Parts: sequence; structure tokens; C-alpha cells
Amino acid sequence: MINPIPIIACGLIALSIGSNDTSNALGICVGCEIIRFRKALFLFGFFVLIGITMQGGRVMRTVGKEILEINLYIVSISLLVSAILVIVSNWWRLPVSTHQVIIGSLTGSGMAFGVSINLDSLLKILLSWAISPFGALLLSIILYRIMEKTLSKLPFFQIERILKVLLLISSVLIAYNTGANELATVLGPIIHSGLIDQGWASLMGSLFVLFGAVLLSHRVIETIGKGITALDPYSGFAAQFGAGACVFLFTSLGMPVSTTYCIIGGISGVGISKGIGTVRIDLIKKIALSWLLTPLFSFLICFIIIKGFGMI
Amino acid sequence: MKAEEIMNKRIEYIESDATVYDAIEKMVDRRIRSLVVRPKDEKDVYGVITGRDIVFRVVYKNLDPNKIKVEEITSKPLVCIDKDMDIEHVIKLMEKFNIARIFVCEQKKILGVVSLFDVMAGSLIKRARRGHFA
Amino acid sequence: MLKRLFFGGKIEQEVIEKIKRHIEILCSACETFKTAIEKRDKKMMLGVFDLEREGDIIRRNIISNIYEGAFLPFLRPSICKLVEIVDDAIDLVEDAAFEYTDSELDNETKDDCIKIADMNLKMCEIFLIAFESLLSGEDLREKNLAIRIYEKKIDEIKFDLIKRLKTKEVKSFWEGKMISDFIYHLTNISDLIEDASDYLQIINVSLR
Repeated sequence: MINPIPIIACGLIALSIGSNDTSNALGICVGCEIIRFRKALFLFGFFVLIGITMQGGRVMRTVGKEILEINLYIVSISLLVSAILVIVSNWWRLPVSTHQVIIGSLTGSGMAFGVSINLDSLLKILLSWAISPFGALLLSIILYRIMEKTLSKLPFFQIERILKVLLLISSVLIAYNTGANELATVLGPIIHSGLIDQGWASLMGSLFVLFGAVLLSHRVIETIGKGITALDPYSGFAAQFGAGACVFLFTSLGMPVSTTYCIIGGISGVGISKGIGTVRIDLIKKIALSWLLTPLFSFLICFIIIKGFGMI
Repeated sequence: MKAEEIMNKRIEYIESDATVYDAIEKMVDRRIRSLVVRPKDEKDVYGVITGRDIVFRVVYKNLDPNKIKVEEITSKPLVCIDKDMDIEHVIKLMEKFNIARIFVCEQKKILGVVSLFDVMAGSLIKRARRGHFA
Repeated sequence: MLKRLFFGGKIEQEVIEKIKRHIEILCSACETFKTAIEKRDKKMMLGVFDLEREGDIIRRNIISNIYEGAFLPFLRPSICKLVEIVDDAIDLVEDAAFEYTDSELDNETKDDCIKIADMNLKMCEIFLIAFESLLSGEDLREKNLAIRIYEKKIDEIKFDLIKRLKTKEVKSFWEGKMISDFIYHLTNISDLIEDASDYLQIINVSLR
């Protein structure tokens, strides 16, 4: 008997990822008119599939197998709760990382069920969450310096042409990461609980992400013009590619990290390179708060629900 | 680059029996840094009076400009060059005589004046055009 | 689309060629203007009107090409602004040409105007060199400074010219207005060329 709940929940989360995180990848390319929106969406979907197929396995294993011993109940409850949390916070436009929600839910459910939790694994994940934005910051600064020494020396119109190609490459990288890291985090539990085959899950997952982007494309377009796109193309590339490279590194290590936070790190890195002294302290506080509360919240909800059912 | 290409054709004159005060007034109103002094008589020659002369020989000594005549602080004779002279040569002359401007003359007629500023501006323009066309 | 990215820059190349042509028209207009005054040839002055028309056509072409998709959207406003400044300069040459055909200048004024027209021409030539330097990646600063030097020289002549003209008698209001407008337009050309040169610098640093 295949329990449909976790699979449906995954589908919903994938749709959410499509509607919210697509602009991380496409925003700057579409904003710079390097590629038209429709084409960008399909390019995005294609590389999400490539990402999860080629490198998704590692993060899937970390989330689905190494943190705790997965069972059907854990999978169902945690994914259901995650789906609800993700959808609700997207509705209210709260910045929330799907990785944090899922890991929090899994841990909460696992603990409530009494299965042993691999603290070593969990610690590595928490450390990755803390380090990755700074990693992106550092990589962006380094990339910006390299660009200053190489790209800047070229004649103006050549820089413009090269930049267009570079921006397309970095967008593809982010799309790839969305598959290899973000989608992998969502699919890891159901694959490793044996509910569904990895190949099918990857394909369906990618399709759902694409659906989410297409169906809610107005949301995607809304967020274009904010975040990286607010930067000029030159800085935008340094920020986006730095973030993408950082996420790629963590994906190779099997660690689930948030592209959105890394992009914020990248943007800050570029800001530092340009010597912009003012850091938005209020924004940083908001981000730090969300970073702390999100996994905690999902952890508690799952824990309480399961214990609650247990009591009954 | 030849002297004639960068010279300033605007020359202002003053009589040798005018006062230094008149000279100052003329320089301020016309926004120029030197005046050519006309010869007193047939035996005299053209001369020049500059801001340097006025400052070091009148202002510094606390003398009353109204009481000093232009001819008392005029430098004579004018240092003249041909309009076809090369700029490198002009610079050498200016360094040799320690002057900030040199006059371009043709058969006793003053065509224009080349100042350090004109040389500087001219050389910058030459650099900007370098490798493109004359 | 991918072809456009890698082999392209074709539409950008076309726009660049047209901008170069536009600047060359400005140079021609200044040259025609100067020669016409030197030779006191009012008929030759009419050539400026033809050049202005040609310049207008090219400008419209450039702007529509740009909004058809040339260059990053980030750069488009600056490039359009540059083209519009050059166009305004050509318009000024045309205005001055028109007023010249309708006025009589005394010799001293005519000499000063020739000096200004000559410097306008030299400024245009350096501006063209500056644009070519933008394309080849050379430093623009010296060219920009050379243009500013000329602009200051023109300002000096303008100051004295106007002072002298104020003492001149005119037979009617319109004669005076024509001469005044003529001098105004003639001397403003250099200001616009200086603006254009500054804009070139802005474009140059916007992607670094």
C-alpha cells in the first residue's frame, strides 16, 4: 500500500520551490533581457532535472538516511507539516528555507517517535547552514577581485558581450543547484523510505518544480527586480556565481544548504568589495531570526503533533 | 607641433608711462597675465610686464602701485621666436631664460604669445590625438 | 538565441557603427560651418541643413535598434542619452548656420567666430577619437581633458566677444536678436560636446 500523503506533500513543496526560488536563478538573466521568460523557464526546468540526476544522490542520502532511521510515519508527518509550513509562509511572503523546515520536521518527528538521531550528521548540517552564507560572501569577494583584474581591462563592448554569457552560465548553475540540493532535500526522505524509485522521483520532482514556476509565474516575475537583479549586471554576476559555487561545494559534500541565504551572502560580499560601509543591520537581524526560528518551529510542531497523537 | 599652432593671438598693450595700478586693472579686466609695453619713442623697444614683475617688485616691497610707472619694472627686450619654431625648442628657451611666456614675432610685428599653460594644454591635446591623426 | 549570444553582438555592432557615423556627421557639420564662414559663403552654409537631417534619421535608427534589444537594459539609457546629446549639438550647428545666413558680421566678430568654429571642429575630432578609444579599450581620460581644454578656450573668446558686441549698435531688435542667438548657439556647441564626452566616461566605467 503506497501511502500517497508524503508523495503529495513532496509535490506541493516542489510546486512551492518552483514558484519561489526560480527567480534566484532566472531573475538577473530575464531582467537583463538575455533570455526571454518562457525560454528561461524551460531552461530552468531542464537544468533542475540535470542537477538532481547527476548530483542529487548525496544530499538525498544525508537527509533521507543519515540523519535518522526513516519510517513511513516519520516521512508522512514531517513532509505534510513541511508542505503546510512552506505553503503558508509563501502565502504570507515570509522568507523561509525549505531545507530548514524539512530537517526541523524530520528531527522533530524522529525525536517524538523515539528513533535515534545521528547528532554528528545533524551537527554537520547545522554547521553548513551557518558557514555557507559566509562561504558565498568570501567566494563573491574573490570573484569580484578576479573580475577587476581581468574582465575590467577589456574594451567596454567586449565586457558587455562576455557578461551576457557569464550571467547565463551562473543562472544555469543556480538552476542545477536547485535540483541537486533543494529538490534533493525534499525527495530524500521518500526515496530512502522506499516509497518511490529515485529515477521516477527525480523526474516527477523536476516536473513539479517546473509546473510551480509556470503556474505561478506572476509570482516569479514579481520577485524579478529585487535581490540580485537590483544590482548592476557586473556585480550581479559576482554575487550569483559566488553563491552558486558555494552551494555546489556543499552539495558535493552532501550538505543541504539554502541558495537564498547564499545569494544574500554573495550580495553582501559584492557590497563589501565596493566599499559600501552601510550594512543593513535590520535586514541581518530579520534573516538571523528566521534562520533560528524556522527549524525550531517545524521541529516543535512535528514533535507536538506526534506526541499529541501518541497521547491519544 | 609648432609655436603658431598653440599661441594665443590675444595681445594686450599698455603705454610705458602708465602706472602699475593701470596695468593691474587692465590685467584683471581682460583676464590676462602679461601686457606688452609700447616703446616710448623711436629709439625704444617693446617690453613686457607680467604678474611676476608686479608681485615681486611692487607688492612684495610694499610700494604704492599708483606711484610706480610701468617702464620701471618692464622687462626689455621681448624674447621673440619664429612662428614655425618647434615646441621642444620653445620649452628649452623658456627654461634657459627662466620666463613663463615667449612672444611669436614676424618682422617686428607681434603675432601672439606662447605661455607655459599653452604649452601644457597643447602637449595634452597632442597626446590625445596620438596614434590617430595629426 | 544562443547564436545571438555567441556569434552575435551583431545588432550591437550595427548600433556602434551608426553611432560612429552620427558623430562623423557632427564633425562634418562643424567643418562645413567653419569653411562657410571663412569663405563668407552663405550657400555653403546650407549644406549644414542636409547634414542635420541625415543626423536625425540615424539617431532615430539608433534609438529604435537599441530598444529592439541591443545592449544590456542597464546600459541603454546612457547610450541613448549620448546619442541625444550629439543630436542636440548638430541641431545647434544648424541653428547657428541659419542665423548666420540672416546676419552680417563685422570683421573682428567674424575672426572670433572662425576661431570658435575651428575649435568646435577640433573638439569633435577628439570626441570621435574618444569614442574609438572606448571601442578599443584605451584610456579615455586624456581625450576628455583635451576636450575640456578646448571648451575653456572657447569660453574665454566668448566672454570677450560678448563684451565687445554689447557696445555695438544694431538697427533693429531682430537684427540684434539674430546676432545674439547666433553667438549663443555657436558657443553652446562646445558645451554639448563636453557633456557628450563626460557621458562617454560614464558609459566607460559603468561595467567595471
